[in-house]
Amino acid sequence: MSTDETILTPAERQSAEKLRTALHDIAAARPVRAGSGSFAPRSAHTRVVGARLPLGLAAALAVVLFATTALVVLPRQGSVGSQGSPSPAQTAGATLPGTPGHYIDGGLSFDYPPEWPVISGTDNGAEGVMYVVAVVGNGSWSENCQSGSQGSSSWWMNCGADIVTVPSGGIVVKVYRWGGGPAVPCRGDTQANATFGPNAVRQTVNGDVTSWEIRAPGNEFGQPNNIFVEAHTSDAKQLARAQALVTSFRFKPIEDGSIGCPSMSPDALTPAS
Amino acid sequence: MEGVVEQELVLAARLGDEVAFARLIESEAPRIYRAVLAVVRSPEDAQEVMQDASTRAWRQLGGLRDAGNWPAWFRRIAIRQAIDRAGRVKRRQVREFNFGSIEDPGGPDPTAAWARHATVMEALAGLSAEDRAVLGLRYGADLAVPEVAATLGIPLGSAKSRLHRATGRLAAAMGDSHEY
Repeated sequence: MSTDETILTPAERQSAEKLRTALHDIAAARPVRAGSGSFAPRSAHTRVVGARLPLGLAAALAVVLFATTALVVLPRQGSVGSQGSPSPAQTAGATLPGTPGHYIDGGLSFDYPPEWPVISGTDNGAEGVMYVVAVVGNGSWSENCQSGSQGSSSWWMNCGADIVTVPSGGIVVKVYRWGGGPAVPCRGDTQANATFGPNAVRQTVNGDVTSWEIRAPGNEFGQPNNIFVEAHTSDAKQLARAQALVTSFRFKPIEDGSIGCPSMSPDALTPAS
Repeated sequence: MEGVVEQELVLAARLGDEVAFARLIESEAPRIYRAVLAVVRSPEDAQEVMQDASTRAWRQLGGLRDAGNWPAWFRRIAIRQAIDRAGRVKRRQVREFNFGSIEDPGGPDPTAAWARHATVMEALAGLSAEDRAVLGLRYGADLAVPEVAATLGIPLGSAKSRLHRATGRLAAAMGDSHEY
């Protein structure tokens, strides 16, 4: 008899045993599909950074909205991730005027201008892991993924660059989490090249796409679970507002000490030099 | 699974070995599936939660610092996915249990299994997802209370009290509370 059962009344113990029998019996009748390969998501090697939604959800998110001005349809190469050129060191502490929108989803939060509609928000959906946290702005955004299944429990997915449309003077900002299966070794890579408020980040610029990598608590740059904020705009004012979004970004305090680099404390920040 | 073997599999999986990852999942899936089943109360949803959890685990495996923590780490992912799923189902009220829609893989009759245990499974519906999680981990996954605490990320004392309260609520919901 285990310690917890010693404090149960006979009736409670009887209920517990009924529950145990029920769960085992039903699970035996409908066992989990854990055969070889059932849980090996082959797509992990073929997806590109920032394109993470299953096709069904991606299609649902492929909404075109709020193009209030004459649209300049500019299919751009999204998801620069670490592909772009590092930008010069920069420090900013801009805040958003007025009452900003506030995005909060479990482990993270950030502010964004009220004029930027939420194009897509995380569903934490039934379809699987959601890597795109949110997309805001006054253009349109959709993923570019194809998926399929093989058998009853194996699936695949391939994604190309996001399809982003930015109106003149507009912006689309995608907040996403970069991740992947294979481990990324800890290399002491914590040197930021820009600082926005409390967030020391690694900034890259690739044409009209500016991306900021924000380290997850305990992480170094380049590791899974870091957050990227990716702004698609050629408008300086819009870019400044995106920087304010980065300034407002916060992680929830770390809950699980089993992740991250041993040498890193959750609050460790390496400011831009 | 031997701890050393398990850690080797984790290391291999972190390097992209999908077969190693599948073995890890297979070693842990049956028991955590029963806990997930308690939370979502639907084999169909439980299957999806397990798939989601395994996908998430694969993607985040690089962030698992200590390979020896694999079982608790994966269980935590799965049970959180289950609680999250249960919350969404409750909020949206769009999904109901529908055993008939599941492809029959053969073997024991799942409908009959559900019918045999309808009372207890329906009683679970009156409990919170968190209560169902602690009950599922203890009586479905057959985890010891310290393991339940580790999976939920709560202190041992909290796990004990939560388990006690949840069991009491289950007994009350089943009408068993007066039988002693």
